Amino acid sequence: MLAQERRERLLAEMRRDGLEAIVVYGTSWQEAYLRYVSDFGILEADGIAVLTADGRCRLFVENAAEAERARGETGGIDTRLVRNLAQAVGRELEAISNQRIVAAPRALLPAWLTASERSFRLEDGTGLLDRLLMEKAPNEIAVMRRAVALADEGYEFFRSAARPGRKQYEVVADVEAFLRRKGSPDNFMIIGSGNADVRGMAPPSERTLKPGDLVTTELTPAIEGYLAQICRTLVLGKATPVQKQAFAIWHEAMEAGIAAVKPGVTAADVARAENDVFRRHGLGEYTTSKYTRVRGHGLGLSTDVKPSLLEDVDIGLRPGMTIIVHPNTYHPEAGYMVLGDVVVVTETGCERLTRTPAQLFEMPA
Amino acid sequence: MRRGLISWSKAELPESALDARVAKVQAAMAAAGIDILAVYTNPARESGVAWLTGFIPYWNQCVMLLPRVGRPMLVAGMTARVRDWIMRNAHIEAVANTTNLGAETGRLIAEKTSDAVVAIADIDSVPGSVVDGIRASAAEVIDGGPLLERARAPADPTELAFAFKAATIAHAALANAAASETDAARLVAMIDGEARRLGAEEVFVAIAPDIAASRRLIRLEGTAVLRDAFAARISLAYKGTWVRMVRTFGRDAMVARDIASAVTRFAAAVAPLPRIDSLEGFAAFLIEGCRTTTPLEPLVGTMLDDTRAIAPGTVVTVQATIETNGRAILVGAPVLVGRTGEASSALVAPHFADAG
Repeated sequence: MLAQERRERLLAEMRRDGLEAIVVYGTSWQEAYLRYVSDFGILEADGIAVLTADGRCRLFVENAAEAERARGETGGIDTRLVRNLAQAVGRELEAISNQRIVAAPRALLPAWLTASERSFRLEDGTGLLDRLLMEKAPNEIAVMRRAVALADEGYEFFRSAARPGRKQYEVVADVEAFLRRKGSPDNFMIIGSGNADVRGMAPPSERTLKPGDLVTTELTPAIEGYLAQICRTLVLGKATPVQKQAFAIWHEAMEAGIAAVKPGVTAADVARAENDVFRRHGLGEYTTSKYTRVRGHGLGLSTDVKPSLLEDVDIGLRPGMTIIVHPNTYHPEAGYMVLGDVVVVTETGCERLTRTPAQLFEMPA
Repeated sequence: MRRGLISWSKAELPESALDARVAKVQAAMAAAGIDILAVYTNPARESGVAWLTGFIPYWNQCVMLLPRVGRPMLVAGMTARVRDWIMRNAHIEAVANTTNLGAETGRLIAEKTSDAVVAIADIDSVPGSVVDGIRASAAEVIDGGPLLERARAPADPTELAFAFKAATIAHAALANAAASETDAARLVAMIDGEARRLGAEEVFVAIAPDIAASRRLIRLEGTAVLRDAFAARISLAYKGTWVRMVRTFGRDAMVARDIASAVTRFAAAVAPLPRIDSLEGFAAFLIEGCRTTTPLEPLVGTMLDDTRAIAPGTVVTVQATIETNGRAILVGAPVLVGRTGEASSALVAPHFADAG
């Protein structure tokens, strides 16, 4: 039902803009556009869906397992297993080459489709899809609430799994199994452990957790394709004064960011509110891209929908956006620390969805 | 996006093994008059760059540039904060971080030479923004897929070792699930968690909860009741090498007997590979393999209109639906394709102790 609602919403936009078709590309790290249109959560190789103004949706995939999954997991979609994705889609578009067709994300489309010698021209429709991905309908927000609740549960489980003597990838394996038992098919997760030597999070390695380690994670389970994230830091043992002082700054920054979230402000305003806290504490250097990617970001049908919370992003916040505010970065004495809560933008401000306490957890060492 | 173990193990993948692969490709480049080979990578197209450098992106996209002489470099669409992680996990000369992958790749090519012949592996699948950036700086752009395909076959001992390790993990994960299980979410958790605990880089589990109703293997959302005969497929990567394995579970003795029979027929049918005539008697079959940059590319199968060559000495994954006493049994395993005169055989036979 949610998939049909999304498609109807997009079709209304297409009618308004006089579009005959929209072409959406997807791959496992850029899955949102394809999921929005086709409801297919792609895992392997690439896929492209073509939605035409008459409501027909055709999904082209080049991996046989994905074709089988798409036929079993989606409704109302004509799925085709093809050898050459670009040329198969091109043949479909030739019949409507004299009409307006947009594509998203156009920059990632296979080169063959955007070559100048094609009979059709693909305008950039990324902005249209980005807006729909950002500003969620009430039923989408309801699913996001469930995903955030699962992220809270997931982090509670993570705390019990992150014990001295365990390797990072073993901890992540346990969390993944926990989420599968809960019926969540997907998750994005990175981890860090150690102290001032750790400058960020990454996929899990063989590094063994030790007493005194700061253990950071960004855990992002999915429900019906909607991903909700939580960022927290724990200490294996008692936190040191340095760790406590550092965490207090992170907490202050996150709260400042959340306090800034309301309709009409920009992503830059929120990022600035977070970064100003670091600057006040003499840590402004650690808000740059050398140490951190973003100060939060949108969530939804991918782990990283727009807007990115950065001081140069002028996207205005609107009701229905779901955002994680996370001032994650490096501290020169404590190491990399993370803290992030999910909020939904309301008509007057925002509502915090994350329930896990925003604290530096101390776990038995 | 990847969240299993990603770590370059120099014991398993020595620098010398990567250097030998690079040298083999560079010799082919010289013979073909190619100055630079560009190989695109993202988490769904990791195989080419992983084979040449050991690097596996956990998200985002990168381009590896290999000159005719010298070591490869990586142009990465991630910010500089992950530079150290990339350098620890890739056998490369350098990494350049950028938010505009195509333009930066083009700029780096132009910096090396103004009239380069650049081969882009699997050019039709590479994003237009990347190809446009390269075209803007190269004298000539050609498809580098055929060159890479020739270099990769037959699989070298290191690649075979990874495939065997991946197959071993797949078997252990499926063996960790019990035929007595009735809750599909718990079954998936047993398989997924075990594979990751054994070091899988990524794991996808698909199930058919009731084969009598549908043979289709899908990813589970929520849960489902597992009926008397059900199947699970695990697709997993170990350090960039992907395999699949399929197990049918049955709760009564008759189903178990049919499963055992189907597995025996499967083993006999894969032995003549790359000849496929023995598989053609099954209700359905599919053979997948990695030729260039994409793992588990469909090569031959009942749902395909055309065929791709199955190279002797490579590892492919074979899946089959085998009708036994009117019952469909799903079987699958990675297979080492024999060289001339050799039988092909499963890397790890899809037999399980409780026969279902």
